[in-house]
Amino acid sequence: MHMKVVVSGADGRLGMALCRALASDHTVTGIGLQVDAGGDLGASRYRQVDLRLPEAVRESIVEAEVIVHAQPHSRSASVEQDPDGTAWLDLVARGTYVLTTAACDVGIGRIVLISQLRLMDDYAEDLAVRPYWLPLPEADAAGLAPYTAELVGREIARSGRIEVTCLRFGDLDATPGTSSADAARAVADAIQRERPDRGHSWDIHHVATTGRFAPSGR
Amino acid sequence: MAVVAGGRVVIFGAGGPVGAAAIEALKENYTLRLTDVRPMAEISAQASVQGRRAPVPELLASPHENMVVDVSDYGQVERACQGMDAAINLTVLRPDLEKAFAVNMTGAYNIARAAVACGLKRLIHTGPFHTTLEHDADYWNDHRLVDDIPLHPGGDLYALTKYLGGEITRVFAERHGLEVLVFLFCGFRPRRIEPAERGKGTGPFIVSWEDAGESFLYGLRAAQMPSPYETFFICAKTPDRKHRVDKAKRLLGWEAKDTFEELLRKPPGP
Repeated sequence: MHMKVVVSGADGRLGMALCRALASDHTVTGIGLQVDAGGDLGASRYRQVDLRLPEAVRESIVEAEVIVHAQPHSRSASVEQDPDGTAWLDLVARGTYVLTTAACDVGIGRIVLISQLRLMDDYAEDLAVRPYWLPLPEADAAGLAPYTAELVGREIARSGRIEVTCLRFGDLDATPGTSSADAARAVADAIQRERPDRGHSWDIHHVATTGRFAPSGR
Repeated sequence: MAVVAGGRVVIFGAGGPVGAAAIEALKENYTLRLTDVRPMAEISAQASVQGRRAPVPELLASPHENMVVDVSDYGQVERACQGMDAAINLTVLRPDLEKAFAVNMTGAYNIARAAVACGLKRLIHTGPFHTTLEHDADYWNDHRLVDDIPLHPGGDLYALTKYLGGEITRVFAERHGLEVLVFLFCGFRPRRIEPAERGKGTGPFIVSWEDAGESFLYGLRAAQMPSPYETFFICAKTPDRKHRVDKAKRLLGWEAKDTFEELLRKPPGP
């Protein structure tokens, strides 16, 4: 089914890759902090939007049917003047809050939130880690940022106003990591799904191509 | 040992009424460094924004100290933690989007980070336990709730940003062995009950300002905790049986003296 999709973090590698892939089946608008995306978005449009600003965010998503929130996955190069990482932490946590709240307000039914498989790295290598296990972020801003995005998404989903599907990816096209093709496939599936698992408004999945979290556990 | 029986304690957000109550309870036993985003002298000279019966902090003289600290600025927070034995985080900002994240989340991050960097023995973090949040998982319809249940803030800005600050503090506690006690509050009221209030009842999860202040004295002096991050309901035992209060008594030795019998019992008939 053709949909109108907004992809956040479109000025980063993952956001760009998702814009390019999704644009073949959907009408896609990428949004990001930078004036220009700085790369190939395929057939997607691009808009500069600061996710911390509710009015700007609301305006950018008002016509969308689904949002792919890729920004929390990897630190944006556009966040400067951030020696201790708290600007990035604030951008991710507040940005997720503003985006998800705005989506609720304009009646968008689903967000696909892209988080980081690194949150599960501290579990012993020989454990068959499942997505529902407690994330174990590092005690620094870079480690905590995707965790706060997950908490914000999960909690707003709890209100029943929106469905949030969280996909944890590894580093893009790295080994271990998640390939662009697997990332695009997982997102395309998530935006089309009927309903998250077990009737909950929040569900979570691991998407890895190689490494310990891949289906083959390589 | 993380016990802080004496020494120097920094309080962040000391200018609010909980800060006022904590100052009153701690000032004879500790040397306090009182910090707020506004000068303590300015705050002490004004009535509380939380009503005429809410306490206003006393302006303390040396050896206590007063500092202006914006908790969203790590450098200011670390300077305030230097030379301290313990910290108490009472900061909170409710309605403003940017400031709520800056104070409730980034502020908690900065305080936990500085507490680790400065080698503090104990951090008392505070936050709200919302008895109702307008969604079905808010525990409003439950009873005998225990201190360690996971908070479900939903999309409420204040509840959610304080929740993020608490989770970040937990990660620091578990990663670095920083001992963190979390005191959860909801409703406050004065110890004194006015004649017109008798028999009018009260909401759940209530504590007097005075008892709230004393809880910090018990928190600092309590023996080492079973885990680096322990959460406590700071509220009076009331007949509704909605919230258990035995953990604070068991691990801190604290229980509310004020149980508001005069509010909760109907006055004798004519």
